[in-house]
Parts: sequence; C-alpha cells; structure tokens
Amino acid sequence: MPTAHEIFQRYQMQKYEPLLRGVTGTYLFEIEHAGYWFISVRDGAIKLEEVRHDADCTIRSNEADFIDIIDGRRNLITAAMQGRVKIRGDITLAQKFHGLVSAKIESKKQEAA
Amino acid sequence: MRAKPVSILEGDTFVVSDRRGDISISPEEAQGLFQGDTRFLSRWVLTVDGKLPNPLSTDDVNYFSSQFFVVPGTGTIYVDSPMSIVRQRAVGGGFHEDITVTNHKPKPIDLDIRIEADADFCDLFQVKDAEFKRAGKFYKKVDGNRLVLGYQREKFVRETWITSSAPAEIDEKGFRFRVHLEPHGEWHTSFDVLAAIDGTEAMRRKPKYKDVHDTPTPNVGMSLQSWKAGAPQLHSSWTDLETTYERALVDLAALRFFSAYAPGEALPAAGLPWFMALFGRDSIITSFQALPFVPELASTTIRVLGMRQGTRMDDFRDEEPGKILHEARWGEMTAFEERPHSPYFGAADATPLFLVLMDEFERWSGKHELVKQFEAEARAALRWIDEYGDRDGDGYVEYERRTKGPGTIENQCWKDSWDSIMFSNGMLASYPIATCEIQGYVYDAKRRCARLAREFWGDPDLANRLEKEAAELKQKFNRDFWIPEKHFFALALDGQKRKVDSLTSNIGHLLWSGIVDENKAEACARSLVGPHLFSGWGVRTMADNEGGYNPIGYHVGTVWPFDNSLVALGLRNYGFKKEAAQVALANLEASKFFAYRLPEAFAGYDRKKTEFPVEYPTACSPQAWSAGAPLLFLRTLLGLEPVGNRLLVDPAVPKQIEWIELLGIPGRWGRADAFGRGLLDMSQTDDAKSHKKQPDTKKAA
Repeated sequence: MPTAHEIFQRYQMQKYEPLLRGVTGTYLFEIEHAGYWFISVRDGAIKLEEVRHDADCTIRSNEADFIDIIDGRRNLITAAMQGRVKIRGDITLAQKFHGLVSAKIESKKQEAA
Repeated sequence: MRAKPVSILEGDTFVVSDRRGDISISPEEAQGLFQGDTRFLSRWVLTVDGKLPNPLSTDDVNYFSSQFFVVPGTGTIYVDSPMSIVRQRAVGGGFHEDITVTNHKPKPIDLDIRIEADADFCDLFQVKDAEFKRAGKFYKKVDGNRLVLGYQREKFVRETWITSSAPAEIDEKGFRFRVHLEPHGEWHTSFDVLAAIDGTEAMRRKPKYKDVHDTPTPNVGMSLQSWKAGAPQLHSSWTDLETTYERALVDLAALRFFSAYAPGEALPAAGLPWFMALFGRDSIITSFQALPFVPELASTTIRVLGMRQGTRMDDFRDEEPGKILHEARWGEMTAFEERPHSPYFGAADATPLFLVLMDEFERWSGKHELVKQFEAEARAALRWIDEYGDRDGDGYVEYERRTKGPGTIENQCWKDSWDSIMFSNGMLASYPIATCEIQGYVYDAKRRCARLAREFWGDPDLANRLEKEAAELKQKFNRDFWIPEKHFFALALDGQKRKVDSLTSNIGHLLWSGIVDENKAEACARSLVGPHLFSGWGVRTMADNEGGYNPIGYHVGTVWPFDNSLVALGLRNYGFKKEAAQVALANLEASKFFAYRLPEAFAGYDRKKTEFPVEYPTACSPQAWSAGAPLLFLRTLLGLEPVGNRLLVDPAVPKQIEWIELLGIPGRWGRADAFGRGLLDMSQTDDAKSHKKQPDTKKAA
C-alpha cells in the first residue's frame, strides 16, 4: 500500500491533468503525521509543493483514510460526512478532487478489464 | 381530525411542531427540529404546574417564524384564564424562542414552568420509516447554563446546545423556572437552540434570528422583499390568482437553500418535510417553471448539478459517467453508506432534463456564458443518454436499478413509486422499463443541444448528428409507443418490449417535449381533458377506467399540479389553447382550497362528486414544483415565449378570468409586460363560474 508521500510524488512530475481542465484554485492537503501538500491548479495545469500555505480548499484527514480514499475503498464525500475528513473552504474544489479520484479509479478498472 | 402541524423553515433547517409550539414524537407526525437531514430535537414540551397549556391561536409570521398563544388547560369548556403565554420562534441554524408569561389577575401567582428537551438525532429516513435502531451512543450534559444533548458514532458527532436567558434549574431532561409574578406582571425568557454538526467548536454558530419580527434575510443572498420585488408584478381581476401567485413566490423563496455541494449557491429544495434536500429532477423542473419569474434559480441548478455530475460506475449509488444526480442527503444513514444518497443517481430523466433546462435558460436569459462553461458537462450528459441510458441499444433510455438495497428506487422516472408503471389490467411492468416521457425528454434535449452546439460550442457536426438522431427517435417512438386501437401513447415499454397500455398524464409530457407527430396530437389532447383523465380539478396521473387507478394512489390516480403545469404547456405548444387553459384554470381554482398553496398532490376524485379537491394524506407542502406550477400556468395562459431577443405574448385566457397583467417579466429583452384579456369561451368545458374581483367593501364603506 503506498504512503501519502508516494501518492503525492506521483503528481510531483505531472504538470497537466486533463480532468482538471476548467478548474482553477489551490488545495492544501493536511495529512496527519505525514505532511502538508499544497497544490495549485490553473485550468488543468498543476503545481505541487510540500509546504503549508493558505488554500482555497483544505482537506484534512489521517493517512489511512486518505489512502483509502485515493484507492477507492472509501468515498470522500461520506468520509467527510462521517467526520473522518475535514473539508474547509471551497467545496466545489473538493468535489472536483472527488471527481478526479473517481475518474482515475474508473479508468484503472477499465484498464484492468 | 388532528390539527395541522406548524412548519417553519430556513434553508435546510426546519421545525415542525404542534399548535402549542411543542415538539414530541408521534407515529403520525414527523415533528422536530431538523437540520442536515438529522432531527436535533425530538422533544420540546412546555408545561405550567405540570400541565400542558391549550392553544388559542397560532401565526406563521414569516416562513421562518411563528407565534403560539397558549393558556393553561381549563378542560373542554373555556373559562377565563388567569394568565397567558406567548411563544415566539424563529428558525435558522437551530432556533430562537422567546417565551413570555403574563399574569392577568390582580393577585400575585407562583408558577412552576418547565421545558422538557430531548434529541434522538434520527436520520430523516429513520423518522420517515419509523425505524429507531441506533448504532451510536447518546450523551447529555449540563455545561454551566447550557444543556448539551449529544450523539456519537465513531467520528460522527451531532449535538444540540440549549441555553436560556433567564436563570433556570437545568438537568438532563430540561429547564425548570420557579416564577413569581406580581399582579399583571410579566416574565420572560429566551432560548437559543443550536444544531451543531460535526461537534467542533468552529462549526457552532448562533441561531440566526434573535426575534421573530426580524427582517427575513435568508442564507441565500437575497431577502424576501428583494426576491419578491425582482419578480414580475401580477395584477388580475381574479384576486385568488394574485394570492396564489404571491404564495408561490414566498414558498419558492422559503424553499431556497444552500446545498452542502455548493454552499454559495441557492437552489430550490424539493419540499417540506421529507424532501428538504437537493433533488435533480425537482430542482430542474422548478427552475424551468420559474424561468420567466425568478431566473436565478435555473443558473444555480445547472451549476450545482453540473458540478456533481456522475464520473464513474458505482452500482451502490447507481452512478454512471455523465449522469445527473437524483437526490443528495446528509444524515447518518447516508454518511455510513446504509443509504446510497451521497448522492444517489437513481433517476433516468434528470440527465435529459438538465440539458433541456440549459437551453431554456439561454433562450430566456441570453446568458450564453453558462452554456459555454458547462459544455463539457452537457457533452457528458449526451454521452450518458446514448451509452448508459440506452442499456440495450434499442434507441430508448430505460432504467433498472443496479442495487436493490434500502432507499433505492425501482421506478427511476418522476412517478417513482413501486406500482406506478402498470398495464391496463393492473399488472406491474417488468424491468428494464422505458417510460414514454423520458424518450420525449431525450428528443427535446437532443434538439435543444443541436442549437447549443451550432450557436455556442462551434460544433456543427454535433448539431447535425443530434438533429438526425432526434428525428429518427421521433419517427421510431411514434411507431413503437403508439397504441392505434386506443388512440394514445403507451405509458412505457417494459422489459419484454411490451406496450404498457394504461392511459396516463405522461402523454401530456410528450406534448411538452414535442415528440408527438402532429396527426396524433389531437387524440392526446382529447384524452388529457377527457372524462377519464380530467377530474375537473386537473389531469389525473392515471385514467379512472384503468385497472391500477386509485384516486388516492400516489402516482396512479392523484392530481399533481406540477405534472399539470407541464401538460398545460404541452397542450399550448401544440395549439390546444382552450384545453391548456382548462387544465390551468382547474388547478388554479383548486389552490383556494389549500390556502392558495398547491400541494404536492391531491386526490383524483371527480369534481362533481366532491365539490372540493380532497387532500392526499402525506403530501409535502410547500413543495417546490407545486409552488412553481402557478408560475408555469401563468406563462401558458399568457402565451409567453422568447423569440430571439423579444418576448412573444399570445394570451389565451378563459372568460372566467377577466384579465391578467404581468409586469416586468425579466429576460434577454430586459423587462417586458404582458396583458391578457379573458376571451376564451370555456362554456363547453366547465360550469363557467366567473372569477371577478369582488368590490372592495372596506373601501366602499
């Protein structure tokens, strides 16, 4: 199972995410006992830094829940409803993140099939 | 008959109480303080010297506030009470309540006043189904001058915080006040009841209103006054119509709420009490109905539904890429995935309707930025229709739920009760089901998107393809769904491609969509206002000579005002002005019997038999698309249609209404006025009672 560090490392090299076309804003991921990742998105162009900055949307959780969400074992929205994930700021950006994760999982499934 | 409960609401917070102002659990009524689909108070009972006071009078001051005038119990025969109690309550983020007790006697009195409070933190689904088994733990604590009622399941925390301004003895069951009142003296306390979602300090807010007479300032950016002032002004010889219109505007304002999916954007919740949530279909249709009046609802609906469009295959939620959601909920059962509403996508019609609204919004408003901004979502919705909606490649969109768990919906059309799709002999249709109106919506969506593709997306190839597909669909549909021996369209094709041969109001939606061949339209119109479908108060959901007909069956015989509003517009679009006016007039006449607020549905009994429309037992009221219905009836009666940058007005008003004047209709033309004189002779269709404005007796005096 990858760690939060490894997950964000995958995005470190990626400069553009077509699924985020039309999305502009900043995210801060606060992963308890793992670190802070600040992601700036400008119409699909992404820039990731391992720093703590104020962001339009902050998503905070523990590492296990975060990994479960990324791997599709847990749903971001119900995790937030349960209080496992705290979302502050622009919920639209959080939904875009949810959509991105869902689409990635879907394409993985299709590749596997 | 039990007294009607008192409901006040503000955003997704609402309070349902009895006419004393008390809240208590009963199997008949969903009373409580609700927020985010959770009941934060299940008991709130005022006693004086251990007895329940009797209600004298109740006022709904505003949609968010109410006043209760009560006196101590004196048995069945009223004797002058030595004292009175006024409870004034305003909802918003919980509620604020002022209690004032007045001694009317020249002697001092001592009173033991108690408020009992409790919270079961039930999910609204549990309240509805009367299932109260809980997985978490309850706790109660007195924290200084505050009573805290709490519920925790893992990290899911819900708390109710209650404080009183007057000193009280507080225990885990509530507040006690030992009050001494001098002759003609008065005692007062204020309660703040706060619904705390999450349990963290940051989430706790103050109740919004400190006084029931506060100016209504909904969490939606626009006050009630500005909302009403921004809508067109209606004047008519028929005062009932003016009252119904006013009520509809207020109810639509009241039902606006911020979905947690889009906190900055107000859109209509579906209805009180069960549907104070985001519903794809209801929000779309309400926004469509309200376009000529309060167009801002449509832009929000498009944005919010577009943002939360389906992105993946998810059997649990019936989610598919490009699909528009059906219902979003926030209670415990949804959070723990015991219900699929996070959100649930079990609707096969919301996706084409989303596209219909997008085009209609542009036609009225001229705001093409939104159409351009949501081009990708519109294309994904079109792909959903062809790739996922049409499950078996027969050219029709059909539905069958992929998971049969609790809370999932069998019939994923607007008639979403389990028994709504029945053959004429009363036999249930098999799945997957392709209902007729969904094919109409698809036809309409493709034609409309062809225009959008050509004019705004710079894609003439797509436009041509969509027009070709729409034309093919229309041809095929008129062949496959038409029942020649009955002269109407089948309600659906079932899993074995059999025509479901009941006569239903759905054929009116077909007229609205434009999918009906001209040579079949007259037969549809005749059926819609014929004796089996038309009750005299409106078009029944199912004809009274069908095997499945039940005048108090939710979708199999009742009259739904929203349904009728689309039927009337459909009739009008095909040139059946008189029939359209007949349907509109009947519904508008019915509204008087519901305090000028058309309910979700009413019984389908014949007007000649009952003389008044009979209530449907568990109908929601107010309900957004019922509040929207009078607005669409007005559009239909006045024949309002955007043509380029102008508003076309082509009135067809029945003689019973002498005149209607609608001033300041917003749209791409700025503001425009419409006037309609009642020239349509309805004598063949109705007992033609005139609705003249009565002389103002006060003025005359």
